[in-house]
Amino acid sequence: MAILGRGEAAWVRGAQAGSASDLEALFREHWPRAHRAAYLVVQDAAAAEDIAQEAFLSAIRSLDRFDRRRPFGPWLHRIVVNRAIDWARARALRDEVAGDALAHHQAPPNDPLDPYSEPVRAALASLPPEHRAVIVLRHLLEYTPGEIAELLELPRGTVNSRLRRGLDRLRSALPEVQRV
Amino acid sequence: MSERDVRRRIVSISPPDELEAERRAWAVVRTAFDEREPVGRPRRSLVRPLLAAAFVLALIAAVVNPPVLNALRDALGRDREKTVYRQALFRLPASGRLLVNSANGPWVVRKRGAKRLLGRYREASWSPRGRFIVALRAHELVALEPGGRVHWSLTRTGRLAFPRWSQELAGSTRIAYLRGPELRVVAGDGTGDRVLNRRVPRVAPSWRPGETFDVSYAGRAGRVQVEEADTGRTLWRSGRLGRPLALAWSDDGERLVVLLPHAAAVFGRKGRRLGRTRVDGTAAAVAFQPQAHRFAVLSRDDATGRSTITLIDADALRASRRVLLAADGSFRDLAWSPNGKWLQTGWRTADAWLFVGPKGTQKVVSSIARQFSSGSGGRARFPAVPEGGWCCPSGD
Repeated sequence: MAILGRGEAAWVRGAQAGSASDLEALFREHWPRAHRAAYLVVQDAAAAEDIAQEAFLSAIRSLDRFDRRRPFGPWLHRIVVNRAIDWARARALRDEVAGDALAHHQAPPNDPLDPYSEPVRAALASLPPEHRAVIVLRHLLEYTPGEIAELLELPRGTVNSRLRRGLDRLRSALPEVQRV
Repeated sequence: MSERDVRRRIVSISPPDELEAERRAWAVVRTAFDEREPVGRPRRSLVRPLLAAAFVLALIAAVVNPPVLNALRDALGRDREKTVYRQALFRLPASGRLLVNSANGPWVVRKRGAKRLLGRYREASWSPRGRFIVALRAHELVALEPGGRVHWSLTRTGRLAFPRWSQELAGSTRIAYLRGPELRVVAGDGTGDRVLNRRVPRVAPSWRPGETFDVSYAGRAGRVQVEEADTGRTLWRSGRLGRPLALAWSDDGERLVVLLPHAAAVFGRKGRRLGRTRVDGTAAAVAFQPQAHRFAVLSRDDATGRSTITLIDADALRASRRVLLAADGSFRDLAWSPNGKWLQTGWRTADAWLFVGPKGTQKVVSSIARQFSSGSGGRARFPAVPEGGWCCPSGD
């Protein structure tokens, strides 16, 4: 888990006082991981960008009320991950209920697939969004299972079982893909 | 494979276009930060000097920029207590997403205020459920996702204009657009492009919601006609109306309003003329309220410089009309929220958007031009919201 550094506390204080450079420092520090976390949960680049952006906007709206003794990261990550889960669930529902006229005319992604990371991304995509979120919080954002339970308001046992099942799925998916 | 290896691979996954996304997000976050209104009471003794400085700056702004303040004061009118002011678009007052055509291209604004610039396109409008957008780029008709990914494009010579996406029927859709004087129709997957009429005036076509792909458009000699797009069969044609400016259907497909320079004419589904009503001043825009037979008309009195938005009942043209807004200055565009409770309009003179809500509530958002500029310098231009530009809560 990210530890509240002296720099971050100073940035929060500065941003609360109206310093754009302190806000930028906070943004640059937290954006990449917030954006990646959202992307890994929703598996959609545009939605991930919107979700991470909305989380920062939400942070700005609440900046004056933010208790600067608390770390900024977990607060932001809670917003990002919960919104990403909501979005992924909503998309799954939409896809079940009705397809759009163009849904079957999906263009391939513009970027070439990375042979090293793509199998993991694909394996993650096969998990339910709630399981993806737990994996992302543990392995990308480096929270402990206890912290994840607190962030997502889940029993610790649920977090552990989702982690275990998620990792099993990833492990089983990877060797097959590597042989291809 | 070890847990550590899995972790290493997860960390190595990056979203496409990551740096560009960061740049876009920072621009939005920075604007929101500049425009925020602190709500808490700071605890430090620095607060008073800061507040004093803010007050002086506000005073300077008021002196330096009186037209904007005057215009906003006028908007307060008799319902001062019902008007809320915001310096930035932190959120939309109702569900859905707003499509905004700016000089730099279309933006998609989500309910909570996050927004995305799609690229160098123009005249963007939504697909029926807001999952896609059709827009123009030079000589191309382009279908793209709200995230900016292009699905297909169609290159045509001549000047392209007014792309409009139909309702969805059995999994397929149509797009009508103008190429020079021609009205053309293409399927929603970019196939089957063909001419429907070789000579029409420059007025946006409008699809009738219903069981077939019926497109209405302004024809020659000031008439409006409705054609079945797949067969080219003319369903009906109106008499001479004058000079149609815009067409809009109620969402049950039972009423068509044709906006004329100084009037609005209403037709039934099969072309029966139900009436005509005068518009105060010169008409500028029309929009049917969702799930109702009422439409809003924006008009401007050139003599007084006053603009009015009037809500008119299409089933009782003379009996029922209500002024939703009357204010000095120039307005443009009308967009209803998907739930039909809020109406958005652009107040160019004040560089503001106005959201007119239930029971006379108004929300004013200022500095719109700057919020929809790309920050590349130069004077920011006031953006436009296309008809039906506030779309689709389910897609949010």
